[in-house]
Amino acid sequence: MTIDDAAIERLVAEARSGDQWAFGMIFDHYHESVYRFIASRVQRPSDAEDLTQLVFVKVLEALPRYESRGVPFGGWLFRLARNAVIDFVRTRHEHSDLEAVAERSHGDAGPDEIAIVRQELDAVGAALATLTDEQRETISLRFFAGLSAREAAEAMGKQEGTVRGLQFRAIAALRRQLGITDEAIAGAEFRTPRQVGVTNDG
Amino acid sequence: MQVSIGGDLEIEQRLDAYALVRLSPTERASARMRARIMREARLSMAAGSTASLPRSIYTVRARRRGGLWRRGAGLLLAAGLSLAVAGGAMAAAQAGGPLYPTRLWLETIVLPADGAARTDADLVRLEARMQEVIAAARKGDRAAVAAALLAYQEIADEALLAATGDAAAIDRVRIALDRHLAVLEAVAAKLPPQASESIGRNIDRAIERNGATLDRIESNKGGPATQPGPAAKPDKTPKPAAKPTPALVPARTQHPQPTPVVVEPPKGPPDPKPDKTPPGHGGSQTP
Repeated sequence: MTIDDAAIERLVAEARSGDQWAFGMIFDHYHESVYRFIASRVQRPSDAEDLTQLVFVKVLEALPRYESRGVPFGGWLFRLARNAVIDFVRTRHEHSDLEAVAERSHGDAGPDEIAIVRQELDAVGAALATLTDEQRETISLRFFAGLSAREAAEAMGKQEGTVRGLQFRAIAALRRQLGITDEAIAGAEFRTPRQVGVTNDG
Repeated sequence: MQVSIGGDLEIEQRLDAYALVRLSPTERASARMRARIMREARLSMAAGSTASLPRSIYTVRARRRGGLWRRGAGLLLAAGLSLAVAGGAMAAAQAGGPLYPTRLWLETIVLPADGAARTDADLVRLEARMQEVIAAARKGDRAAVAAALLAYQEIADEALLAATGDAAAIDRVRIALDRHLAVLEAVAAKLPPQASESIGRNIDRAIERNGATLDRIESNKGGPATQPGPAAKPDKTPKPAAKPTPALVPARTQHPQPTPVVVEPPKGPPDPKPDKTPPGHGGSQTP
């Protein structure tokens, strides 16, 4: 189910007036993307779960003070998520994501990870670990959380153009790390189809 | 997200796959988070205050990493609750009082992480809430009835969530809910004349919810593990059928006799209102 921005704003208004059902809808709509963003920034899934809950508790606290004023709710929400991650990393003295992303890839593969895909995902994890903090954060917000450039910019407190630039450089770095060249892509046309169903949501 | 060409598309596909497989929450984690967050939402929206929320959410983590002392504390909790129910708690901490949410929160701190001890503690808490409902209904205290019933429903949801995958524990919760259903029906039938109509409505809604929960447990028997509440997601991997425990599982029609309730004559007709149920909750809704 997709909910457009107007519907989100309506749900937010209802939640602000104490409607638990509306708050539940907001949680349902955003919790996976918040979790993914956080999971890409901390080491343990249990921490990602705790922090996701903490973010939504902060949303509960802050909702009465939330005013749209043209700022997308997603951007506001992910700013809370970003701050929660920053606080967590600071207080835990945890360098969250350099090696962690790569570490995550080993040993706990699920049943849906077949060998070839696992290797690919390990490579992606290792490539992500080579990005700068800002580049990785941009990738997390844009690709893992699925935010628009505007929402990501709001969450990061940057200009939209800056975020697009970070994304451009991050993708270029990932291409280099993963050895993705035009020739490689042309060659891939002849390979068997990918075994993980991935989507591009546009 | 804009789709670029060539290598960018390939990168996007790989990142999507990475997010899907490595970063997504499990169904169970999602259900856990939702149950806890909605509990916080109910508490804060009912009380109109969120002052204690962050601490309470951190207790979730503390609870998960709990050790033996918490199990001991769980027993203390059970004993303490019994005393509180028997002797009465401080006025402010009674159902509907300003400290009632705090008291409920304190109860959750020392809950055992899981297993039979957790079910024991949840059943004690359910019983305590039921006693509060009865006492409040007897006094005609509308706010107290509403607060106790709300807390009751949350605890029932949490108890079922904690019992997921444990057929014996689910049966114990089911039996308790079944008995409480009968108690609520008796309370509703004997509300004092001065009791407001809203008390009757609240109790009718609680009866309706309890009935729905019991029906859900029944329909899940032999199928996937039960998840509480209308908003809970089904388990990703179906679990084997629950072991039959005939001695512990009376048929739905075998209600124990309702606990006698010392409340007087009948009230007006019930006016149950169905709860809103979030549509399409089970699906993945990444924005």
